[in-house]
Parts: sequence; structure tokens; C-alpha cells
Amino acid sequence: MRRLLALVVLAALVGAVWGLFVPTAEAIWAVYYLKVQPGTPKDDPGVLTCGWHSGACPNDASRTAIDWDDYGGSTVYWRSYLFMQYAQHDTVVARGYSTQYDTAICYRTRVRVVHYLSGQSMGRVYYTHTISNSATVSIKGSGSGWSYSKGSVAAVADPEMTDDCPWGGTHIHQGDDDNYFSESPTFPWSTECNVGMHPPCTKSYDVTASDKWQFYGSGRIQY
Amino acid sequence: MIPLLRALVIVGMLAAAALGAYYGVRLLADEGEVRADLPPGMAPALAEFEASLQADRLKPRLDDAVINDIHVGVDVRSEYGGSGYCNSDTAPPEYTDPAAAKGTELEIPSGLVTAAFREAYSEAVECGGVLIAVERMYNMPPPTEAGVTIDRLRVLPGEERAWNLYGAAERIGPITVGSKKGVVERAIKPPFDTTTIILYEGFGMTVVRADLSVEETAKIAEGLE
Repeated sequence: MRRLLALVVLAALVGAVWGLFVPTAEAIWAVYYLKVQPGTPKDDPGVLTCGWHSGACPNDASRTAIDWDDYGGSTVYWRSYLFMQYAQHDTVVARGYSTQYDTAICYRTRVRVVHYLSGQSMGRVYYTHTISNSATVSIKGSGSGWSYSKGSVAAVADPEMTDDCPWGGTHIHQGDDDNYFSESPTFPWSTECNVGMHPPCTKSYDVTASDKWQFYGSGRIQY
Repeated sequence: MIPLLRALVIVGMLAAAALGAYYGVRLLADEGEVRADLPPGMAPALAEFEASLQADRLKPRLDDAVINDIHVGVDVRSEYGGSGYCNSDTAPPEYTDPAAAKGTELEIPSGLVTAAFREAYSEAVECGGVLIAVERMYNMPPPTEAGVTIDRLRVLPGEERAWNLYGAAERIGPITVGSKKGVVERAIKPPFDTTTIILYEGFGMTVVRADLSVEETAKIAEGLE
């Protein structure tokens, strides 16, 4: 009986050693958290001219977009903080592709974020009333904290495309089409603060501060 | 009795070996060890896209080409003045409820895209009380997260149809979808970028953009018949 028991233990040991060295096809998942910051030309202060709105400002129908103050030709920046499980500190883990993606009536830039190693999408952000510079932004991440990235993605349009575009002058209308992003409650609704109020309401922020994110996404990347 | 005992021992050994193998593999899957297994560089499909994108940027663009009676090029919409319904002084554009399109030529019916897509956003604009533009965006859940955007634009009778296309000229050409003629801009490599189909309509234009192939994008456009 002891011999039999010894055989079983030996078999288990052989199996364990075999399991350690035989490659596994099991999927590897990495969790990420992405904070998309405002795209204003200045880091500090970035000036909000219309809080969360959908369509015309003011309109509190949903947290779709925020208007940020700007002037024609000024630079629009991608800013983000990214935590990416397993990534070494401040390594490039994603790409942001800036392309022109006009509405039927206005200029608009789209930045699509794609995970570097897997090619999986991590979300899209839009900057209406801007002209894309077709840049590819390298987005850094870290498995031990937040990594900050900044890169120019567009210029503010002036003039707009045609008379069809409803706008009151140069600004960035930064929004998303993403069901998978959360929108920041840090910024006010458009009825609480907009430049058309009497007296006009604007609010200033250090848009590089990690708690001043506009959109927040999370997910899992499969390798 | 002895053969039965032997069989039981063999089964037991196999089970123990399998169990051992399983835990061995689980050990290997520990976070600390996984790092060594991460791919060393960019995903091959993405690397291929980036190389194609860089090559594409060097190729000539269209300034103003007319394909199936639609002007396309890098800045043709500013040149042809848009819908013709709006005027910043007399008929300024205003956002309106997208539901205003229901029952009109600009309606974008629900159910056009498959159940895998979720509607994320819609918008409509009118000038002088005339609905001129409607846009709807959809997306798929991660990891694909391909986006689909549908635009319908009304233009005054006699106005030119025009749409800005920024891609290399060689990716732009004529297309027929159902009974409608139009223009297609093929994606460099979906889903990393977008296929655009512009259809000539009696009222103006329908534009379907999708991070999908031409065939898949055309299927969505065909649903707008």
C-alpha cells in the first residue's frame, strides 16, 4: 500500500514539474484605468466656458461635452493619466491617433486610443471646432501608479467650416461617444456655469492635476 | 480483484498527475512570472497599421474631385457653402431635439446597426426652422469598440453636394449601394481607422462612417434605403 501511495505522490510531482515548463495558452488579462484630461492650450489655467451639456449650451440633457476657452489656431492637447497593470513605470503602453472626423456641419478631431501590445481599443474622444494635425501620440502607463502623457492633437478652427455650424466663436467642445467612459462630476453642469450668463461664468482649473479628469475609463486588456 | 486495484491505482496516478500539472500551470500564471511572457512590442496588426498610416500620409490628396455628383476633397465644404439653409444673421444654426427628424427624410431609423452596437449620442441642427442635419453615433463594447457614425444633411435644391475627405486619393472612389450612387473612402486598416461612404440623396447626402470594412459599412448604408 505504501508503494502505491509513493507512486501517486511521485506522479503528482512529475505532473507539477511538467505543468511548470509546458507553455500555457491561458489568456493573460491586465486591468487599466484611464483618465482623459481637458485639451485646453494652457496647462494652468484651463478655462471652462460651458459646463456639461449635450447639443447647445446651456443644456443639461446629459454629460456629453464641456466647452473650453481657446483662440483660433491655438493648440489642442491630449492629456491623460494611465494605470496599466504589469507595465513598467512610464512606458508607452498605448497610442492615440488623431484624425479629422467632421460632423455634418462643423470641424471635429477624433482621438482614438489603442493599446500598444494588443491592438485593443481603449476609447475615443472628440474635440469639435478643431482641425486635426494627424498626430500619433504615445501614451504612457504604469503598473505602480499613474503615468501622465501630453501631446498636441489639433488646432482650434477659425473660421468654422460653413454657416451651418452652431458656435459662438472659437472654443474646444470636448466630448466622447463612448458608452464606456464615465464623466467627471468635478465640473459643473452648463446651466450652473456658462459664458452666456449674466454676469458670464467661467471657471479655471489646473488641467494637469490628476483629479481634474474629464473622462474616466477602465477595462481589461487581453494579451 | 487485483486487476481492479491496478486500474484504480492507474486512474489515481493520472488524476494526481493532472492535478499537479494544473497547479503547476497556475503557479506559472502568477503575476510576477507573467511579465516575462508579455509580448515584446507592438501588436502586429497595429504595427502594420502604423506603417501603412505613415506611407499613406505621404500620398497625394484630392483637392476637389467630383465623383457621382459629389464634391470630395480636403476642404470642399467650406468652398461649397454647406446646406444653403443657414445664415449667421438671418437664419443662424441652432441645435434641436434629434426626435425632430422622425418621419422626415433625415430620419435615421433605429435597428440599422446590429444589436452588438449601442447608441451613444445623437444630435440635430436646424436653420430658420428647417431641420438640416442629424447625426447618430454608435459603438460596440470593448475590446472591439468599433464606432459607427451616421449623418444626414439636407441641402437647398440646386446646391452642390460636398464632403471633406482627408485620405489619400487612391483610397477614394465611386460606389453604388442599393439604388444609390456615392463615394467611398476605404479605411487604411479597420478597425484602427474608418471607412466612409457618402450617398447622393434627393434631399442632400447620407454619410456612413464605420471602423469596419467597406462591405460591412455598405450593409449599414443599405439599411437607410
